[in-house]
Amino acid sequence: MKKIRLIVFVMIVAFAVMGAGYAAWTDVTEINGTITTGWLDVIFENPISTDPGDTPEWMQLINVGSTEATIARSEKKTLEIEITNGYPGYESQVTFDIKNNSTIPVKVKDVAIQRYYDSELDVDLSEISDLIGKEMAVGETIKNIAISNYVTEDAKQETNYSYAVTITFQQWNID
Amino acid sequence: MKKIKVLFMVLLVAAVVMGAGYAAWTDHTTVEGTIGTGTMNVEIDTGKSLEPTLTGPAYVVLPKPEVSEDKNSVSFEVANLYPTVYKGGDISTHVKLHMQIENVGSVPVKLDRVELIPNDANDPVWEKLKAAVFMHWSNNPKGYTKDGGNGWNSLTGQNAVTGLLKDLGTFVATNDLKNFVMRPGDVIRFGGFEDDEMNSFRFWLPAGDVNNDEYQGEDVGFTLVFHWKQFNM
Repeated sequence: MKKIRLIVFVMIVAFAVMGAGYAAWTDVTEINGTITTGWLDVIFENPISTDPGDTPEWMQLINVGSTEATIARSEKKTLEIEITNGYPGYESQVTFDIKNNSTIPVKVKDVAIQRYYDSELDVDLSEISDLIGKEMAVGETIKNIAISNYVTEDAKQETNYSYAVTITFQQWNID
Repeated sequence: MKKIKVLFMVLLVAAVVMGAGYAAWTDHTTVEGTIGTGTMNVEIDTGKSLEPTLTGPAYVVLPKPEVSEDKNSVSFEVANLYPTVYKGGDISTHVKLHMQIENVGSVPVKLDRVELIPNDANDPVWEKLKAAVFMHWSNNPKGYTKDGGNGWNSLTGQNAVTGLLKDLGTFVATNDLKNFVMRPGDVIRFGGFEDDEMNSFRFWLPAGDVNNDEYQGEDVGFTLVFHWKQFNM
């Protein structure tokens, strides 16, 4: 009998404690963080040649040289300048724009020039070299950057000369 | 335990340094320039029916002119020449040279000078030989222009330029010729072929000037060299 009383007492205490457990209210707060990074993208635009080869028909046999300037591929990161049938004294100029198509500002970190000629050409790339350190805001365009090409008297016939200029852009806040 | 701590520190430092290296974003644009040069090349035409030829009076020996390998000069030696009374339309009174020069290069040119090199410059016959030269140019030598012309334009005017043959390089350098820009495909004719026989490069030994026997037994030989320069120089 004593045992039964003890069991009943224990059960009463157990139910009482269980009831107290369900009595407490709860709530939750949550922080969801999403970080989307921007991108860095600088492109060429608006290449213009002073001698694109669209000379009037009556002049075509005199003005036999031509300079074509095109932006290659959809990434717009390569500007191709091609002079055809150049001769000593031939001169042309190409202008183009550089646009910061990024979501962050950029600056010109470096300009690397490779010249595959000696005295046969006189190519003025100073306007590109002068860009080093230049900062560009988001969406900013540097317009009418010019490259001048001149074929000198040292140029040989039926020969190809070339040059390559690589402009490196970097995010503006890192040295 | 100590080793593990050291290894951990090294890895930590390496990770920090690596992070700094990759931290800056970069992008590149490239300008590629290619300059191809053309050719300057003017040649004496040696094609069929256009190669240099000589015609002249009876009994005068007229060998086939020799064109140099680079096609820049032509040489010949006329034998048994004798004094004649020159008449423009009469082939029995002079020797005619027919020759055509073509700009086969890709850039225009101008004639710098014509050089006549006698085989024997001390021969007194060079003080007597006379020449009359008509020159024409065309960009359409085998066809006809839209306005009905034959495509030929004079470089010497209505009348031939004349002088002593030895001075050809001087008197042939008319303003029209010196200023003429010979475009790729253009041709100049010294003399004519079947279509303009009257306009030619002629030379003769004038009968009135050579009344003694001093000039008998003479062979006349010379080389004509054409020097060209770029049209824009």
